[in-house]
Amino acid sequence: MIDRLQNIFPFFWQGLRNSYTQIFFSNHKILGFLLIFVTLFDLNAGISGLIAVSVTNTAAYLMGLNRQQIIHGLYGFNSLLVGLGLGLYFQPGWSYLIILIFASLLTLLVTVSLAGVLGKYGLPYLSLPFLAGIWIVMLSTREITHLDISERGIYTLNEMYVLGGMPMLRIYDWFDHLNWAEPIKIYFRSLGAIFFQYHLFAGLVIAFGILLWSRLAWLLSVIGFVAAYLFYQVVGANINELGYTYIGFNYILTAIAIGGFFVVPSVYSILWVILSIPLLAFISISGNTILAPLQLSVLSLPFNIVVIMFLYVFKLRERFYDKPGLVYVQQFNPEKNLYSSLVNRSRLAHLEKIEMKLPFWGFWKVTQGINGHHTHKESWRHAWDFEMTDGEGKTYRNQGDRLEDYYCFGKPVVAAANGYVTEIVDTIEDNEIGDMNLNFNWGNTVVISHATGLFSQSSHLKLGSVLVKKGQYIQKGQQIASCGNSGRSPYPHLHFQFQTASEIGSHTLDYPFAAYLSRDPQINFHSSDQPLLDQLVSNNIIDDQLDKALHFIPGQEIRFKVEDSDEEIVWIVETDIYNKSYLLCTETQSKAWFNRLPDMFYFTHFEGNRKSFLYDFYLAAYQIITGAHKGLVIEDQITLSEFPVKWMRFTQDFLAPFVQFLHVKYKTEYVQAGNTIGAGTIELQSETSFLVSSRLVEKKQYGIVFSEGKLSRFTIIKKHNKLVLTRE
Amino acid sequence: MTTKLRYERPIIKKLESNMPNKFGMRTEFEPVTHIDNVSVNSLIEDFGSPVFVLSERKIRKTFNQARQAFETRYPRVQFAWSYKTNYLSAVCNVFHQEGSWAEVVSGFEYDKAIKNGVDGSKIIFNGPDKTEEDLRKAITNNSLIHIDHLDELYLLQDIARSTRQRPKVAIRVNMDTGIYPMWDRFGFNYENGQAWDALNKIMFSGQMDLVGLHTHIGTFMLSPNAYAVAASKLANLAQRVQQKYNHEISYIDMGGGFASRNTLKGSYLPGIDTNPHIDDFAEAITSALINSEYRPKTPPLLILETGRALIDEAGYLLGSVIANKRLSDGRRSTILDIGVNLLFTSFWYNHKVTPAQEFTSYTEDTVLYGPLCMNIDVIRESISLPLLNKGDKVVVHHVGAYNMTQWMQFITLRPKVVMIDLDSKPHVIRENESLNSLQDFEKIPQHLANFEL
Repeated sequence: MIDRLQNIFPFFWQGLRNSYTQIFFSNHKILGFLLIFVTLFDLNAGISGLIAVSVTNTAAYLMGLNRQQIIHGLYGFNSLLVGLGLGLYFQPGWSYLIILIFASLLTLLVTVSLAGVLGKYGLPYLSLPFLAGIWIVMLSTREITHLDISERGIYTLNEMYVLGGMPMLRIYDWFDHLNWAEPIKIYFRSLGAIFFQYHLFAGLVIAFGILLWSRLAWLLSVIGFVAAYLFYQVVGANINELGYTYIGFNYILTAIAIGGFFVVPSVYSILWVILSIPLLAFISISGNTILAPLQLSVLSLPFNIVVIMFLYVFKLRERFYDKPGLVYVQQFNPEKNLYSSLVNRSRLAHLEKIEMKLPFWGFWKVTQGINGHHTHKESWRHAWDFEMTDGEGKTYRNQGDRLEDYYCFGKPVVAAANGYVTEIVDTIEDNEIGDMNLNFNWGNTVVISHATGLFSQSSHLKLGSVLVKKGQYIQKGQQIASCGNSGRSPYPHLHFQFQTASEIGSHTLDYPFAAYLSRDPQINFHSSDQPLLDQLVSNNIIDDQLDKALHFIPGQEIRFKVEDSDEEIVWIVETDIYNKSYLLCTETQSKAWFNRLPDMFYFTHFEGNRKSFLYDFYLAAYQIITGAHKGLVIEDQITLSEFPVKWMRFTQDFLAPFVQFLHVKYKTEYVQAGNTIGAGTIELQSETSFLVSSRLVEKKQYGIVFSEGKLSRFTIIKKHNKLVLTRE
Repeated sequence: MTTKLRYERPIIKKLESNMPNKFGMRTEFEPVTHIDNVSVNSLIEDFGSPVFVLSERKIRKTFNQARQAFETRYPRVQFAWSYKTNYLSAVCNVFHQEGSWAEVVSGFEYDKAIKNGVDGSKIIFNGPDKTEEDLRKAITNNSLIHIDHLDELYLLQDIARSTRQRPKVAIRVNMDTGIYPMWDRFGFNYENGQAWDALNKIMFSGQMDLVGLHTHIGTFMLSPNAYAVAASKLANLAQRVQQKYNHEISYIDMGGGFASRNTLKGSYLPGIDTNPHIDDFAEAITSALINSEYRPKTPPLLILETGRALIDEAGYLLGSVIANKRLSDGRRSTILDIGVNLLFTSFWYNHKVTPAQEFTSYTEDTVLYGPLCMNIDVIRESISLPLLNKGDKVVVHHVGAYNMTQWMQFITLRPKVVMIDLDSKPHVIRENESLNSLQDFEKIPQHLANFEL
């Protein structure tokens, strides 16, 4: 038993602290301590809160509930609120303690059950368990005579004196007599009210904590509050309600939730925040009216109802997904969520997509793209026509009056991905040049089923060239037929589309190719993208050596020696329970999370010491492709959370939903390529630039060398010297 | 103002009144006055006569056609520039810029490739004569060594053992592809099992990385099907290695030997009409590989070492008429300042020769001689040309391959080589030789230093 408790002890403090910060959707350490400090202003309430969280987290652990959830405080925060509420209302005593413990357990059970119900809809339970818990206990305790109602609210100053002596009293007094504008006072009091602290000082401490954690969250809290204040003024609602029942925190929490936590912060999310204010007001006023006979307060009910309804509606959208967009990878910080989403919208577009290759070998030209001029329209708009061209851009040699004159005629057509062949037509004559067969529009065709509702169709194939059979399972890149000129095709070309059904000519599907190169004439790399009209495109050719070197095997140790010193660096390849891989720096315990696809290696995020070599490597190898094409340049954006000048980043945080004036740009160039079959030296030069609008603030430069099938050298180029890490 | 008409000497020609044959009255004399928009006259004026001219535009165009022919038929393709075909650095670098590796057959060529800046891992080292020093260098540089005979294999094994380096090797395989002559003097034979034996020796030695298989079935091949046979035989060897050793071959090198547009001596029809196109070779090779039973995880890289077919057409030799002469049997002969010492390939081809200025439609069968005082110096035994005068300019076509490596300093000195860039600007890429080029290497013993006549 003790062993088991010790087992969770390291997580105990984390779980406790996060239960406090979770109320603001945060896991910020300092904010956690500040919040615990604030709740202790009312000693009884504060201790009640601590007891409630400890009981809940311990119970959750002993029941065997998810440990990550406990650590993140997701079970604890509702009990905390219940504990704080009860602590304020009742005098301490044995019967109170018993009631507190069981109220916490009740809240935990409600939390877990509600998580089950709402989780099915992908919705959060917010502080609904708290409402259930506190209302049930409040209503039932009226029958329990051993409980005494607290009188502390009446002798506040005595309480303060007990807590902090004369200085505390002075501070408290000073704040009470501050001559600030009424709305500002109400704002801070509302913040304090979230933790049942109805005075200015608590609000100020909390506001400071929020500011430390997230500038954007603080800004949103102000926006929510100001909007509510103005709304009350304009419609002439009872402004005192905001002032005295401290219902204002509903607006603040809703603003943070809708404006930046569940939703990617943007002008649209702020617009929705403003639109939510009147709804919150209706629910607060009407709620209080209904609950008044029961002598209960609405507490955070309006916030819960509005946020859950909004999120539900957002999830059901069929269009305008990004106005505003939902947060998928929660980083417990609105600006981090925003910066990641800005970067990842294009970077991680490939996730959960089947990896599609171009259906041919070599460079082909797109002669009709999506929404093309000729036939790619309406339900058939997501399609491509490909042809081959020579150096002068001609698609044929000689006079171009014979099929064989066309470069693409008879060239292999290959499968875009693994799948079953579902349809074949292979008996239609190839047209003479300029002629069209309108009776059999698609001509000779192969349809392949890659997944449920995901098919690819290749059309106008050469008569008798189909090499596969119906029902046959074929591999990605396997030749299925040859390019021809059958069907509605005046010149030999390949028509290719992704479609929703197996029937030839089904409605097309907006689906990307996983990775390809374009040439104009320098080579560019595209990831999860769609070729455009007139682009010359080809599949990426994977370099055996890079492929091997970038294949990091879990458990693998990567040792470097720092040149001209005795220092040795060891990185270990690890994976977590979510199957995500990372490099772990053994010295600093820093983690750089990465992802590996056939065509790409890239880092997703970094945790830990930004002075470690691993951080430099994270910036240097932020995105590498496995094809080695000398002169190829890859550019990408790195999340603004990495911007090194703190005050600039803080300023940016405030403005982030409206304008981004900071930029972190990544660039890498393949200055030397190996021989693609495993030998030679591949050298990349990377740079990460930190810019304010277009002015360079800082630039980091790196060199990465691969040889003998591994990452062999990593160079950090400083202004006057170089740090060279050599693989051991 | 009227220009003075050109003087053309009178000719008497037999009236041929029989049925016109299916090739019509075709002659080769259609004048070529400009190369890549630079006039032949100005080239000769600026760089002398004779002069070799290479068209950078043509090289790149031909290369890209060849690359496209293969890359659109097979997923992984690599060209390696055959140095012996033309190792002028400017020429090599055009190919390297286009992505070609280097294929060399001697220590000197190897050093040249390194000096040109080619990474060692992108040099293929062929040929029967690689010295121990050459091999050590190649191993250190990670070059791909194509073993030609067992003695070389044993030497490599010794070096590998003593230096603890792992050479990256392939074997050259010769085989019967249904053509004559069968080149069996290079590499290991497929049919009699030598090749399989060599592969086993390499795999069992454990000291070398077997990375590829190589063949080069002949030169100026006119039958694409022979390549298909060769490719399937190599794929078969690769498959046997995979089966026996669970080892995947990284590349299959099909060598070169593709015919250019030149006409071989003895051919009935002009090569430009009858020789297979690079697309035909590509189709034969890639289909054979794709259809083979060899199914590795990643398809082996297809390497091509074709030289002639990529450079022949881009080379021109410009020269001038020295004199006209009537031979004893009545044939007309013309003496040019282009000799066989420069145009080595005239021993193999009926080179296309065209005048560089306009003429009337009258032509005469002519023998073209070079300037050497040697009986063998014949450029064309019989060619129908207009009536050339002394000082007229001629252009010899399709001379890019082998001439600038096999030429001789003999009786006359080697002339300049000029490359016309993509903006039609000529650059001298090799200076003409002078007396000093010869004398500098000579040494005279003291007792022979002076004489009196």
